[in-house]
Amino acid sequence: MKRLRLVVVGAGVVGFSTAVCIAEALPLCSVTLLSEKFSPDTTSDGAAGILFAAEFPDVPLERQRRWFKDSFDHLLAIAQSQHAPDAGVMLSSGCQIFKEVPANKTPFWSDLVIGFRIMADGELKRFPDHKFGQAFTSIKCECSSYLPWLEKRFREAGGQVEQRKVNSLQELSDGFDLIVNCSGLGSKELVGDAGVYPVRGQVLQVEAPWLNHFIRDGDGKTYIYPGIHSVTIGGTRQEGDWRLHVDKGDTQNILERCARLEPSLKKAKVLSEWVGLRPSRRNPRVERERVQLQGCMVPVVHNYGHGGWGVTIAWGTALDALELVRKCIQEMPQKAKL
Amino acid sequence: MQAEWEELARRNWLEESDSQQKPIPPSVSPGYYFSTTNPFRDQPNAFIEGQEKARQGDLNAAVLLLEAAILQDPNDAEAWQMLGTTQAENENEQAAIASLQRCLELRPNNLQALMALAVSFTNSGLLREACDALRRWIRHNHRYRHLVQDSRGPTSPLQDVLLLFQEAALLNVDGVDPDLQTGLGVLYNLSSEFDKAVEAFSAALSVRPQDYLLWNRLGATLANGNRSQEAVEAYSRALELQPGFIRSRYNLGISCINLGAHREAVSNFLTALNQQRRSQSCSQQQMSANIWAALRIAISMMDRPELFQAANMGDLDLLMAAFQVGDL
Repeated sequence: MKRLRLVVVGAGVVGFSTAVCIAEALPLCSVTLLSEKFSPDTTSDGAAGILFAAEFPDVPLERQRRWFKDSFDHLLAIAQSQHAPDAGVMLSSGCQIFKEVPANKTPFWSDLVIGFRIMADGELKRFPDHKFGQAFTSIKCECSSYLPWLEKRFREAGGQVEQRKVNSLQELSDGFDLIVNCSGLGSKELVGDAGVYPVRGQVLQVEAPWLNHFIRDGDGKTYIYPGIHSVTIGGTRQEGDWRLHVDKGDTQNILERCARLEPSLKKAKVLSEWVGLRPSRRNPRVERERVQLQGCMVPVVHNYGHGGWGVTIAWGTALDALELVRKCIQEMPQKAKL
Repeated sequence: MQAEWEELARRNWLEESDSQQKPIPPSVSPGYYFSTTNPFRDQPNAFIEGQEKARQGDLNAAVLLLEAAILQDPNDAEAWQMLGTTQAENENEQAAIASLQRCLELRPNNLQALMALAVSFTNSGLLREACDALRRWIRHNHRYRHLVQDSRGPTSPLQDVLLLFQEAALLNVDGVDPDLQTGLGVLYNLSSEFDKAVEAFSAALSVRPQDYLLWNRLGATLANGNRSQEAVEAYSRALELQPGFIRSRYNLGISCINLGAHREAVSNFLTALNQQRRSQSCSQQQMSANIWAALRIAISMMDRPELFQAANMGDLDLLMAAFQVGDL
């Protein structure tokens, strides 16, 4: 008998999270994930993957809190399970420090992470340029492990994976009844969204096993994130910059800025350099529409534009996308019987 | 998850759920699940009485009597055929398909069973199987069998059979063959050429204006071609001719949903479920899962959470009282 055929476009953390949510919740749909690139070649693979967030301007705060909480709880459960090493998910403690005291000292996610507190003056002494700090325990989710782990989970739920570049939604209307778009920056071409733009990020992997705590400058440009195998240090935030090659000037700059926060990094060996383009948008697009494809109205659920917060809210937005998929199914025209 | 399951079942993306019914006795026909308790098990003249109940529109009683007839004589092809068409009218497609297939094993040239099977396959989205049944219908029909050629070159199975039926129609210069037109209507449904399918069923109805099955097929075709308003008229005609026609009432409910008339949709689904239940000694298991699922959809659109809960619990009496649906 015919089954409802769903396709998810995109194999980054948003694409695979969404595909897993759908395949596990709707076991009687056939779900296919199509993508030009897979781990380790996605933007998610280079992300440090530490969970905290900035506020999107036009998304109700309650919804942003839910995205954050659903993702945090989901990853926390993995971090505290036997799957932690395979999935590349770990707890990580540290601080975010500010040169000027921010208007909002307790961000919306402060009660969703573990043990959030304002840092004491004594703790801030080691950062002479900074006046204010927040200390908390969050989660680090390393996509080079997490994406293959999600892919396995997706396949176990009956999902199919295919490497293929999708140039237009028209290509998909023949084989699929419902399209889920998680193509990130690709949405610029795929659905003609002029609101998506790259924010270039360059990071380095360094060997510094003596570091256990993360440090992030509140401006989002300088950070040190100890991980399972190495320490990710960064970074850059270059809006509209499409360059995917490593910039030696950026590398030098990153090393200097990070060493100012953590002088011991001068002793660290640089293991690799990496550039990624954050799929940015004023607000993430998590909504559905109906698109006319080859004479048929096909439901499309969008889930893209997470910027630098893909790992942070992927699972939460994936659950929203699942709800949207459910609504689409409910509204599909019902067939009369001869 | 159960909700999704039924959701999909309702749309034919899955086989309908027969899970509540336990198969007995599997040796008679591997594909058909008989009712576990059948008060007519040893009834004499079960076939004749079943046929009469079906004519009266008491489809559940008809099903039980026909099952009894088959348990008494498993090789009664006519009873299998009647059971198949009755199950289709009672909105149980899987049971219809299994019965009709058994009938055709016993009598491969039964034209009515072939046509009914083609319709059931079409409803189930099984294009190849539907085309195959219609090709067999032509091959066993003495008026048209000479048209069948071994090879027509590389065409699709649908185009292949459609050509056969079109050629056959050209032979009928002096009148309309309503059965041939029915086949054409089914084929045009398969190719989504709904306007042509409407013409074919209308042609068949010009010869058999009292055929409620044809009125329902015309209605379903109109509905699937986005002509719900006209579909309602066709279903209403079918139900005037046969008030117990569960499938047509289910279809009418679906069209009401599509027209935004949720209360009318609920009312039709409740009537259909009550008709399925009403037959003596019939328990809940005789009610179609897909009618319940459609009922839940309609109620969910009315913003009445307490009634939605009742629908989830399968509380037909509470819902009938709430919507003031009485016995027909």
